[in-house]
Amino acid sequence: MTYLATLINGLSLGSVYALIALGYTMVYGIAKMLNFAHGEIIMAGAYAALVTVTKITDSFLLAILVAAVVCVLLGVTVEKIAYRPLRGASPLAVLITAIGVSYFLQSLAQIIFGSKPISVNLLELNPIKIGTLTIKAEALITLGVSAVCMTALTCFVSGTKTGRSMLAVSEDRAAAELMGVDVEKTITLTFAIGSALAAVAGVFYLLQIPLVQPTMGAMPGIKAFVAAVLGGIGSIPGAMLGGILLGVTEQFAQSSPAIAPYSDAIVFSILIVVLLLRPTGFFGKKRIEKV
Amino acid sequence: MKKSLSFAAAMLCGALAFSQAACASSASDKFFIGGTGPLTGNVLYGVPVKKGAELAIEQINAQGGLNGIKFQFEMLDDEAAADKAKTGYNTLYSKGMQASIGSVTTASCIAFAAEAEVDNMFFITPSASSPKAIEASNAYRICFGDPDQGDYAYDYLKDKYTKIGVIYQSDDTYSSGVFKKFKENVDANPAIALTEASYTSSTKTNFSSQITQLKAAGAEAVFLSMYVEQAYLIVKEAKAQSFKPAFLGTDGLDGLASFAAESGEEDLVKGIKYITPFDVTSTDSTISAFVAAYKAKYNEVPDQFAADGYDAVMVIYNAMKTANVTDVDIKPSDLCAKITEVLQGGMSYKGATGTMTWNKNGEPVKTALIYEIK
Repeated sequence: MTYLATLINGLSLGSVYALIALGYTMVYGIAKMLNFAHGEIIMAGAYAALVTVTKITDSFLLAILVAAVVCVLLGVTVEKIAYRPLRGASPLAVLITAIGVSYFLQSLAQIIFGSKPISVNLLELNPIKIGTLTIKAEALITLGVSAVCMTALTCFVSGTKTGRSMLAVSEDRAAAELMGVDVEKTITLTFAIGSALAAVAGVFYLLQIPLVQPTMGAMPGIKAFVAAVLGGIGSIPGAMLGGILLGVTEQFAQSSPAIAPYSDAIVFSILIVVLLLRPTGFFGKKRIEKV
Repeated sequence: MKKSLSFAAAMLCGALAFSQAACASSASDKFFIGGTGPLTGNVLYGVPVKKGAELAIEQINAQGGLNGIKFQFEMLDDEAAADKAKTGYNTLYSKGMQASIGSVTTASCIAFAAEAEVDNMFFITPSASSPKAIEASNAYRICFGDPDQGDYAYDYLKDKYTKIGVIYQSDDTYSSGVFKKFKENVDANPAIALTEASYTSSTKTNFSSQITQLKAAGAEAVFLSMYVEQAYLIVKEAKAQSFKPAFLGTDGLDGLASFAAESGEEDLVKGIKYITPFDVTSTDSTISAFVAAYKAKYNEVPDQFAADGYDAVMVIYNAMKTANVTDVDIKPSDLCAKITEVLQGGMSYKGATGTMTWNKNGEPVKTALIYEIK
């Protein structure tokens, strides 16, 4: 019976990873860059939620809203200042800049809030009893909200004109531009959506692990990156699948006392195996080059 | 031309450096006590230790110091890292440190001890609890050693529960040190069933699997060998999974009540017990005087680290007083010999963390209290 509890924990944490991975995958698909500062956007969302709940009012919904606004503003600003000037530069330059932004944001948070972990209580929830099983209410809510977000995103991308123009830019930027798509606006929108998702991810991560500190975004960020690669970087359903798979794997690894100390190693070796055997991941497109 | 100029410059720098080092110990007109501790980074235990130590220095100097000579104190930031503790020691030594309160955290203290042994510099660490940190004859400690806490915890739990769980951090010296002794005691007792769960520094934010395990094993009491943040997460996870054992912690849980109060969750940690030498609510005259003085100076309540820091400096002062040290330029090695002679001779000190004497290994002999969060 503990398998079910572990599975639910895994799905719950996995959906947080999925929300973060969506940000990575969309930005890579459309702007062709890996935004390694994404983990810090999550951290910013978490701090925004903390400040809302402690200084303004106790409302969970308001915390999510404020976090989303803060993250969107932060994400769009970072894009304008750090990434847009490097539009034509080598991918390595952009990568290094992203890492630099990541450290900058961590240090900024440390200056503003201090490096001591702060506890935060967003919601008082009672565990849900189904028969003999006790399930954490936090896990179920996270699953639910993430499912809603992912469905909404999929509908937006395939159903609306703006969403389809995002797909177009990711497939062939030059052709999209010729067809009248405003590429700059599309990229900014991508960052905005990715950051909003990161805010939601940050708040729900806090729900399960209620500690806020400047370095809290680094690990989930990297794991979500692994998830995005696992699912196929650039593919939205891939990011969702990758995130959930990763969360479940991690929780099952941790549930066994023998393997638990190596759970992180297992998660990251998945990255290595995927890159060796099937670099495009589950749903990634195989690019055929005509010679 | 260029070569000889740079050579001359190098010689000049070398000469300056040497003269600086030589001058350092005789330039001061005060006794110099130094130490290192984490003042920045993930753990910040150096901050209360520094505050406690500085309060002690202030009180000592207000009474005129020792034989008319005042004291100065400096604590350098080691970010709980061994290499920084080593550099910290060397910097303090070159500044003229004569006795020390060592390092606050275990790994740093082991590095500090290695350097101090070479110079036979006396140190008494307030809180580095692994026996490895005080192996040499110049090294002493204020707080309990890790194995002692393992013993105390076992003694407290053994007659009350038959199904016990324990959670510890496998890659942390303090946490696993206490755990090992605890497990040794429990394993030798066939009446108690023990379920172990561990975590590492990279998995220390998620305890759902550990709680699931202990809950499935039906543990009636859980021993937490760790620090505040992890204990908080564990207790929260236990509540979320409707798991309600009795919790007993090590002295690393000191400060749990105020940590939970930050997010308004005082009720979450009520009833949790932990081993401590320092009871801030004590009515004992020495302890309450310390608490009052600390509150007056810093406008906050002291924790066990502040009490340990205070006691460490006071022990050095009292030992020097008993040995009647009068030479402000006394060399660290000579001072060490005098202090250790006094401590090994059975000197008893009554301070903020109780009454203590020292055994031949530099370990303190003192009583432990079990404190319950109300």
